[in-house]
Amino acid sequence: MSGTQLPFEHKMSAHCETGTLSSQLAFHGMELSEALIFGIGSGIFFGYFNNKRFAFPTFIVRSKPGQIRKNLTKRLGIKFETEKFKTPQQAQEKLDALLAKGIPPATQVDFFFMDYLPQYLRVHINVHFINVVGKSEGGDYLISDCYYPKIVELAKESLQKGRFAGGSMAPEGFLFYPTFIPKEFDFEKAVRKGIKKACFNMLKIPIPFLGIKGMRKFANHITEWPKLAIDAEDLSHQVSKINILLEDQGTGGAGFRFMYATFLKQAAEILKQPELVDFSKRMMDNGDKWREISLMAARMGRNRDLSVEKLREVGALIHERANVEERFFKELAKVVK
Amino acid sequence: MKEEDLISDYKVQKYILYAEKNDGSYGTVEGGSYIIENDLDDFWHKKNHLEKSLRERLLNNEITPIYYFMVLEEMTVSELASRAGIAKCRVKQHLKPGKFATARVGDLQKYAGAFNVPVANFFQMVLTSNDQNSKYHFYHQEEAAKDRYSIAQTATANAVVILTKVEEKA
Repeated sequence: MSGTQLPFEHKMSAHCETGTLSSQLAFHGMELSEALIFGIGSGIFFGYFNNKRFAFPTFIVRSKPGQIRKNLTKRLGIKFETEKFKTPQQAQEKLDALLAKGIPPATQVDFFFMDYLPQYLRVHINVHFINVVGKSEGGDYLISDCYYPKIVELAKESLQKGRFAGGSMAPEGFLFYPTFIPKEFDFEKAVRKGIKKACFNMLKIPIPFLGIKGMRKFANHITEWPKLAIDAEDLSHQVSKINILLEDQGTGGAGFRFMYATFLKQAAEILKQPELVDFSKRMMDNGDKWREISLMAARMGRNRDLSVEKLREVGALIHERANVEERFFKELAKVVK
Repeated sequence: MKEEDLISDYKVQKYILYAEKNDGSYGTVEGGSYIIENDLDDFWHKKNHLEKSLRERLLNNEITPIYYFMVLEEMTVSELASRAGIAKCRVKQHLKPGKFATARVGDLQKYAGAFNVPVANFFQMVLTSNDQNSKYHFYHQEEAAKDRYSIAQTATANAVVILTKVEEKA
């Protein structure tokens, strides 16, 4: 069997979902930056989870996977064909058929099975998105992963396992590609809606661990962590993970706050509201403070400096961020009305 | 974040980050990760410490192989049950040393799929000369390079049999 590779332009990006969307749209002839996709899709968020579904308390800094794509459909009218499969065979047949037609679909996988990534990154997270852009001569797949510098080959067994890993948010072979891109867009309306929804998500969801409330819950609960850890080394690992979740898991730094600042600067031009430039600067400063927290966590983990007082100090800093972001989103909601 | 504050001389991994560029505009820049560039050895150390303490308990028959892998991969019972396709109450049984022997080979194959290890590795620890589980996913790469022997496991047409080959490195 001879190999095929579609003329897909590989681009590294900060985040897998927005990066994949951006390069999918680019393949179909529409240039839309990652930051703009993130903003219009209301990607910014916060949530703190402390329940049986997680081995240790954890937090998220972005909205539910897939939501950004759905929001793009709602706000810009871009239509995507999406499909889930019952069996791996069906999923592979469909993938092969699409590639034969010249369509490189994006697919959802478990991070763990992406053999080309370094081992320290490969954990079981079911919400990674990659583009499949062709097949090699040996029948393996060519992958454009925005965390990897170039297009890379992945064994078909690994792709299969990644697409059909079970567990929470199981991918079930999910794949998508754009089928319709409108000729004209009402960017102003879309950006306005994206910001409004982000403000709503951060401030008004009536669930005590989502949005700003989640931040406060995190800040209060972090002092309990020593009781939940297996031993001191495990606690150190969990505290270091604060840094990994905020900086390393495709957030563009400081838990997407820098990416959102970039979006707000672009939004100021699109909405012709120069006061948003000021908001963008404030978000950048807010991101810097988040980064200070994550660097502090990394150093605490490294030095095994894990006393309850120190954790309380981190909690106080997170409380401060919650206050700042609460004020920020309240004021932002008024400006974009 | 300012562009000049980034780790620009990254050696291990390149990331795309967002920052205030030197010309004052906001956008993407290339940089390295603080943890990966500075603390990767500590990361391995912690992972190996966890592996060793679990291994000790496993060898003393305090935990089962399923528990060993579940904790190492940071899974919960419900996550593992869903990934392996085994009922939660059965998984709970398989975590008790007294009840592990009631597990069927078919169950073990399902667990093996979820952990991405051969079934045989539930019944053996393949240790290297520097006392590490050579077949654990988070095995220290630099330590592995120091080892005199390489241990390769290859799947066979028989789903429950694996070929384990120990070879002296050239």
